[in-house]
Amino acid sequence: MKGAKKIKKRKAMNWGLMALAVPGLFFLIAYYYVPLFGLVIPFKKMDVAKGIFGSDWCGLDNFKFFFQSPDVWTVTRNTIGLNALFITMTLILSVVVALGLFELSKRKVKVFQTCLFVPYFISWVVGSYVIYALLSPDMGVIPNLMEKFNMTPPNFYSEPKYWPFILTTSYFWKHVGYNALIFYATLMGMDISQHEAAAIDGATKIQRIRFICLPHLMPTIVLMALLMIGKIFYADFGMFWFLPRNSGVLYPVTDVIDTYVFRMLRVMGNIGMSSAVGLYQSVVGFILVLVTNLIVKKRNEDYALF
Amino acid sequence: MKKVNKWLALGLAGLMAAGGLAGCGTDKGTPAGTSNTSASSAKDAGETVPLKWYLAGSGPQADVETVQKAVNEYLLNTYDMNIDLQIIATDYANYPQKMQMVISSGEEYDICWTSNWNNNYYDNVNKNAFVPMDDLLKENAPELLDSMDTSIWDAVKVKGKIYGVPSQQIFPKQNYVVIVKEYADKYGLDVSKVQNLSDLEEFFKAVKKDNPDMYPFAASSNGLMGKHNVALGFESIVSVNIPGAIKIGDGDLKAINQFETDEVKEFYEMMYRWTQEGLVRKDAVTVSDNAVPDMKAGKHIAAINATYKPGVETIESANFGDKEVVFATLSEPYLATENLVSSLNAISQTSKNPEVAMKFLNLVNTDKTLYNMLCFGIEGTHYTLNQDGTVKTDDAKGYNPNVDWMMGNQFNGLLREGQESDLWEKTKELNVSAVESEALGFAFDSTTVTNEIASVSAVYDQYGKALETGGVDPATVLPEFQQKLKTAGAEKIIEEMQRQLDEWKASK
Amino acid sequence: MVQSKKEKRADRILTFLFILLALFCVVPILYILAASFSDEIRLTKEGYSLLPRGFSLEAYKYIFESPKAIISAYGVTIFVTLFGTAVSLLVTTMLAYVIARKDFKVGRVFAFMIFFSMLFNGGLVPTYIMLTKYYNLKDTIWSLMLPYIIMPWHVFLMKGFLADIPTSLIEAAKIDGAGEVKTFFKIIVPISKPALATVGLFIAFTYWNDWYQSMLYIDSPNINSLQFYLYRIMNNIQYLSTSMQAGNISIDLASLPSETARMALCILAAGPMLVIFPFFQKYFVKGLTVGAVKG
Repeated sequence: MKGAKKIKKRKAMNWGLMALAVPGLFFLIAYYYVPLFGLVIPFKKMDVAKGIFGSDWCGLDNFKFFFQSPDVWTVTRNTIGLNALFITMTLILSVVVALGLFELSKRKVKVFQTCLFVPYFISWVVGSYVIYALLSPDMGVIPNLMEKFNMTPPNFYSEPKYWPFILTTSYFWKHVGYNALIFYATLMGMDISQHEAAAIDGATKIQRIRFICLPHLMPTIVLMALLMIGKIFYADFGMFWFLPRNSGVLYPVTDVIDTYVFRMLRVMGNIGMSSAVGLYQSVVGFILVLVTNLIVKKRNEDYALF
Repeated sequence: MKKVNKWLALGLAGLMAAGGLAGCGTDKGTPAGTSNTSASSAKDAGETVPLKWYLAGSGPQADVETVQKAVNEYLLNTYDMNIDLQIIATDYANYPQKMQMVISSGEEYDICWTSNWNNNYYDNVNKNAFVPMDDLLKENAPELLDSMDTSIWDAVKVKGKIYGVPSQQIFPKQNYVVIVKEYADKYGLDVSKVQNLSDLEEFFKAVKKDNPDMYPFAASSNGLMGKHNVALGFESIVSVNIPGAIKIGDGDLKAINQFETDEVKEFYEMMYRWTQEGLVRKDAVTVSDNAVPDMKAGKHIAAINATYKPGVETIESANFGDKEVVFATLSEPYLATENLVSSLNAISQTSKNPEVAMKFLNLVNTDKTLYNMLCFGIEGTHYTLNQDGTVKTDDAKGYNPNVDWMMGNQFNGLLREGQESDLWEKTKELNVSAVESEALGFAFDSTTVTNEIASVSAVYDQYGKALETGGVDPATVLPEFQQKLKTAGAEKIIEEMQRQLDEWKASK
Repeated sequence: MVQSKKEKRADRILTFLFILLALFCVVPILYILAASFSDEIRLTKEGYSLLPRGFSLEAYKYIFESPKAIISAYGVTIFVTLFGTAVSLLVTTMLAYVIARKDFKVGRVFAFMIFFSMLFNGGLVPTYIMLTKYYNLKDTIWSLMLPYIIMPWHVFLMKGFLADIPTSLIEAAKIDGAGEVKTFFKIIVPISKPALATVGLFIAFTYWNDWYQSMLYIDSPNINSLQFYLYRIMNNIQYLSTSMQAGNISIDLASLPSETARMALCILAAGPMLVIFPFFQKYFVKGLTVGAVKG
């Protein structure tokens, strides 16, 4: 990366590269761009007999239910707050884990990496059983342990204050293997000669991590952060829906846009209303990424998303 | 890399050969109904009409194709009706979403199951998803039309028109408590004297005293309101969880907010007391599966349920691990509109052959052979008949949808193993004997208050379930709940309900 | 180079920390595994533990009672995962390489297009209409593959990896007279094994874990994927036990699969991928690690 000379500009159009891009663009357009006509749905009063385009326009009516609801502020705060927490915690810890793995011997890496990946295959429904098994007041493993040490265990399912921690831990638990692998694979592509030179110069491991590994990981960290910021307004529905197990007392902390809207529309719902919230989430995420990307671009053009 | 490719190719080839998967995928690409193998052998009865029927349940049945073929053949031979039936069964949880896709996308299909609790009937009617079937019924399904009382047909009307065929079954709601007999006997409980849930308090306390590990009364995340509302004396207008109810026996048809009544308040207080005394699990709101595993394991010895019906003994006894059970009913059997809209089949706006669909529904509801074929499959292949004529089903045989009450008139169904021979007679009697709601036939049109309903739904989830299961103290939480419902627009909903009720009363 | 005492100790501490982390990840699954072999009643009464409560194969017997469904589900999932991953990895890598090339200005436009599609997708209904009405993919195995062939997330991830390739390498190939396509296949692909393995693995996981597409597009019982089989049972139980309006309809919950059976299903659904994982791993470790130099 560093000091790489830019290839001289050739012809105006590089047809070879275009050819490589075509299959990907084809699928991209076929799957993502064709359905964009659906962006009209939030502004329509759906009538099956008339079809999507024939249905009457209804202005911003479909947005009202969400923005007029009393809890719109709470769930927006929860969504952004918890997601920001997840993003920072997961990024930092995954980088640490990847750097740790990098220092271990090959055989150990194999074992640990497999272990870390196990939770990725556990769906949140099943995860909710596991967490319940650990925390339930009656038979939970943790409350029982606490009792053994003469502590009074709290009832986790009725005390909101523990939940930001429980949720962050669960999120990290499920995603650490995945994210650490991304950074680990990035480290694999590092130029080894720098390490050799540093070792000869007598640099300590910490120094090598600080001055060689981290700078090498930086573009990936920024990339991941940018991609995650785009999704900051979307919550992992399964996680927020299943883990708190319907305990309404926890909602002030655990309720996010996706679960809230789901609950609102469960009795009476229509596609226009749910699409309206989806559009709102997209627009905000889009603006956030545009702004962040602009800031990144100013500091280092190579790190930017586009 | 080369090695990987070879390995991939081998794997693919093997798979294709073994399962014929790729072929099976492309075959399905052609639209259904272009050919009908079963029809070719029989006499010609005009062009084959494809008929697509969406149903909920536990999921698709492995051997559904055999049953479809049998149905096609039977209809052709018996009624000269040349159809190609396709049953698409989705699980309950995903059914609402799948149907929303199917309906909103304008997909062509003929019949779908709908109700007031899954794939919402009123919502779909508002979206113009179904065809009004008044005329269709008269012309194509006279037997079906005659098979039910006009009051039932009136009850499913929306803005004066029928949009769905209710599946006949147990209709009225009669709340009851079920208790394991062993304990009722041991503690000298006379179930015939139990009038209210609170009458059981002393009994539960006595049980708890001797069995400190037990929580005698079962409660779960499903909440208790829907299982107890008739006993509490109100019928709901949209759903028990949405503010808006009518007091039972109130001739005025006055819409009230049930969450502001003394009955509900007392009920919450009792539940809270019960959790404090260990009669109910403190964390009941987090318990899934309707607490059935705990009942089976003997942790609970009593439970409350919505609808007492003949034959319920078998089901409840199974829930309590095959122990003998006794019942105490908490209300009269009561019939409200919501009970008639709990299972309907509607014809799609996109159907190309609504007449054929109507004729088909007519037969499903009136022809016993056809109905039982749909419910149980083919005798010998999917089920066997016992000596007494009851059906023995077997999940492993590939067809046991277990949704008789969804498909059509349950009274035409064969009895399952263990069911009493006079089951349907008794059920019919109960249906007739029920107290009819003064508002029977009134259907609330929620279009003007959709936003408020969405808001109060979310508020209910946060507070209602916890209150019903005794997880929180109503002294502090109930006022907060009531306040939040108000902010969310409960009053506007109730005003609108009152307006429509008055209008409806005047038009009668 | 000889490891100093200090380094050895650091290595031991590091290993110890990783053992803790590994336990943190694995122990919950051991609970699930133990539960799947437990006796139903004892599990409810005594709760989860690391050793099965009693020993019972009932759960697995229940699942394999009608093996037809689960075997066909395995078949579908394996086919979709293998075929889908192969196509997707190829297409994704090619596109990612193009946007990773800093000298290709149009690449920025493509990158923006990909990013845009990550956030704005028109919603479910239009996608459903497109796939069922225009592409005629409803109820076909292809409807399970198409949605993940290009995923913006994977493209950007791959772009991140490929951006590390020294430009001098590409220049050298050019000077040798190789075209872009040839350079890509002969030079870029072989040196990007860790990247291909990582993204390939992620794509495979996406296909393996998917249940949503099956739910939307598949009507026939014999094209359902494995995860959908699991989800259907799990979600159905969750739905019936929380959202059911208790009207006159009462669905017999006692006949639904027991908790032990659900846990067994979870094990059956996750198991195979964990076996495949080490196979991919050999491509990660082949990189030029510090350890390799030391060794």
